[in-house]
Amino acid sequence: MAPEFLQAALGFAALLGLIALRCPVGLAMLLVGAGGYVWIVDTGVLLNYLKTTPWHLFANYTLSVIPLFILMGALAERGGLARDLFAAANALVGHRRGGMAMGVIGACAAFGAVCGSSVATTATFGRAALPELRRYGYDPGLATGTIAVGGTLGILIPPSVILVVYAISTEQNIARLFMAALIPGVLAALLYIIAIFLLVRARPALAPAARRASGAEARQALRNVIPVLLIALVVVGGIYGGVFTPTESAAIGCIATLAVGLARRSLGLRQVREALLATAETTAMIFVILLGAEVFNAFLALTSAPELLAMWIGEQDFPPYGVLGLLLLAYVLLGAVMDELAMILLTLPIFFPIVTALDFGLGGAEETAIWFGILVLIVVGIGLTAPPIGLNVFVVSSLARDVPIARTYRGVLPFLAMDLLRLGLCVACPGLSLWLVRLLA
Amino acid sequence: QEVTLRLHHFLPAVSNVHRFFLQPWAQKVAKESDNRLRIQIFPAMQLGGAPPQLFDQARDGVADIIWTLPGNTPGRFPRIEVFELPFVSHKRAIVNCLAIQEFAQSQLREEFREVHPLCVWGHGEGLIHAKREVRSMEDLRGLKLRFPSRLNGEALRALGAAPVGMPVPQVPEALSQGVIDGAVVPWEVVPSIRLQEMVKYHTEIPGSPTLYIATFILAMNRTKYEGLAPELRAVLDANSGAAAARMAAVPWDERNPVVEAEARRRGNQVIVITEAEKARWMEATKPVVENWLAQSRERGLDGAALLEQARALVAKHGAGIG
Amino acid sequence: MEEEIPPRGPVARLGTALALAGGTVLLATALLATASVLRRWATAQPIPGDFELVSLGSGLAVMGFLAQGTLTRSNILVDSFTTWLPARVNRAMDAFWTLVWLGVAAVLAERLLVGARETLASGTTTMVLGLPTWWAVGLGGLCFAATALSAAYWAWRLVRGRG
Ligand code: NA
Ligand code: NA
Repeated sequence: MAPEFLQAALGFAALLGLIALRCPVGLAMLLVGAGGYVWIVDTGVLLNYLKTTPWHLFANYTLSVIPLFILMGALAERGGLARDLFAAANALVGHRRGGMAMGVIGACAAFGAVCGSSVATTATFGRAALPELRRYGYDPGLATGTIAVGGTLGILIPPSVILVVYAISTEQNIARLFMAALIPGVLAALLYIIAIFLLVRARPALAPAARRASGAEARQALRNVIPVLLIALVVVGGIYGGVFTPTESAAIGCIATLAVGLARRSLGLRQVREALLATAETTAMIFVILLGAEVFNAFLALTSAPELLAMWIGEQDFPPYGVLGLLLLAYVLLGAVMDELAMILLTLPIFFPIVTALDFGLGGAEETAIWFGILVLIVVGIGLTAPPIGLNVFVVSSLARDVPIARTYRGVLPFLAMDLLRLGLCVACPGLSLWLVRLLA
Repeated sequence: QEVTLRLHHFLPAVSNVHRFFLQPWAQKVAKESDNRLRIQIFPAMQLGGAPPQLFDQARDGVADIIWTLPGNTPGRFPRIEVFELPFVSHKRAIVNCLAIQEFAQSQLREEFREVHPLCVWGHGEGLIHAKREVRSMEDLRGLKLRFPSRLNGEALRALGAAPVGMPVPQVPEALSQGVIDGAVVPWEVVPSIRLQEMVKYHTEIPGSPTLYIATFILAMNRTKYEGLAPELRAVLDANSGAAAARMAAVPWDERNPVVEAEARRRGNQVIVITEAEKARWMEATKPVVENWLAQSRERGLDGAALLEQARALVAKHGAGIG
Repeated sequence: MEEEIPPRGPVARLGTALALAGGTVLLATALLATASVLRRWATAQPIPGDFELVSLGSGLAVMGFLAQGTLTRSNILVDSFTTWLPARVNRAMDAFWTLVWLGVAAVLAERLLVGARETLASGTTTMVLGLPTWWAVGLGGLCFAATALSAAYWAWRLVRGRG
């Protein structure tokens, strides 16, 4: 093996080793990156490199959308907007067999339009909907599984932290990626609902029918969600309609959510304080990983391995769809055992040049980049719920301690089949991702 | 002695500066040193950090060589700013390259003392690329324009426009979302941010001096430079200063006409303001120059002398060049 | 995370105070960006320097959040390979990595303070408003120092075996 690849391979091996030994993912990337940096250059230079790097990384206009979208989601959760969404979805379909689970998916999809994080969406509905599902006698595995996959709609439906990170690491237009994600995201929600429908038809005991809401209750529930739907419309519509930047839409979404909560008195000082602290925890977690990836990727660039690998694959004349299939397979496998944010930050420097150099018969490298971004988003969603390490499943488990984690994973399986189906569809028809982009651009 | 130097910059590998200056320059150095002095280029901030950190990276040895804009760190390099003042520099890059390089020899040693400057230069004329026609100062009123450097921002404000500061990669998104109505850059930058697809009008200022240019530096870590074997240092020296400045003009002087022709083919309109209008603009931007002179005094610099020398050098190297 | 007593004491108060300060800055940043959009609609002019103020604000907010993240142990770690080990061993590993994070945060704090001093010396400002930035870099250093303190708090707790 050429020394470049040896260095890079050793780096990845050390990284996985540290992670297996309970080292937090962000810290592991930082340590291995720093170690490799010292190996190739030296300690003094590493210390110089670190002098202002955290500041310039954190004080970045494009990245500012991440804390803002997280804050918006936290305010929406504490302000009871998620509960309202669930109540409204329930009033519509709750009385059908499996209807409450379908309602969770619908509410998650709507909430996904104001929240950019899957963990936040999972935690939100774990608190707002899980007790209800259990109270009406839903099978525990179906209930937790539904919440775990519903949570992935937080990133599958734009806005999406993962897409922001993808856009930044690959220098793509965030708004266009958000446009491209919409149809596949809605498709995900529909396929999840179909999965529930088929599941409860086959095994009715999984999900008893709930009481039908009275007409007055239903009208009240629907009236309650008007504000949150309006916010979602402004946030997503503003980006798509070209009225403001993603950062501005996140800012407006925060202020609007705060204003609605204050006006309805569902947000008081205590709830705002809780929302700020919740935002702090999630944001700190993400940015420590971003910092770790910054250092690890500097080390990776120093080895020159990504560049050489992309060049080598480019010269081999592999069939484009074969390469794409291999990369997606690698992602599904990595995503099963890894943190998804770290996974894309670590692999994009290697995978992205390979993919954009291939010819899929699309309109240029930019379309390939957008399409690939959506495919990456789908595999990230799979990784979030697939065993053995699915972050969303962990989050649900922490809220439903009486349900064994294996049971939740079993509950997730039918949905994973739908995810693979959706991945296949999006690979086979790039138009699902690109149609809206071409229409609006 | 065989040496590989890491050259770090923030532009993508497809950019004109990377392809038409940095790569040919690195190849020339390698060839003239019989491949003993190799320069490995890392584009797009691959070695980590953000563009404003590049100068420090050369100073601290994080990279061996960097390419950057002194204007990326406003306030830090007050002397070289004189060439970014409105209506000081030349329309053609080659003139500015040679003038600034000569200016650097005498005036910028103090400013760049922390590094070994290989070459200091500036690009050719910048244009106003906007969604609206700009023929006069009245057309500029309230126009939201992304500006490239602090002083150009002040000049645009003096002309009545609303300058908006943002990193270049944000420009396409901001344009499509109406956050800005246009951007001020040289032709060379236009295709990399697909500006020609998003605006229809390009406003040029006739002749020299021109409204605005930006300055650049190719800087090397001092210790690394001094540690080179004498024969390798000689190769580097032969490709520094004016020799490098001549090569550095290529991305602008050769690419600008190509890009302009491409924009015209798309049906975009290239507007040249009248000489009378230019005179009005020069008059309107005088306070920017006076303000800069006052600021220089505060920092203990003889701004008037710097300005006089800058104008003289532009005139000297611009003699006979249209 | 296991059910554990939430952090208390001066270090915990510091981390929470920094997080709330950061969150307030983030809300203020959101308000500024919203005001800029509204002003752009109303008068066709944005608030001057809105982009750099948003960058500055979100940078400060993120820095302020770091200590709270460490305090609540919000980090992603993979425990699937070590669940078969005794709880004591797992706790020892957690204590070890917390100590490592303490060291890393302390180094980054020192680095950012050096960076702040150099930024001050070079006189670097923002592009539109000409604001100096050294103080923000320095605050970032202090936030990393608070993060190191939070890590020390946890390392001590884990070593004493009350995790
Ligand atoms: Na979302
Ligand atoms: Na995973």
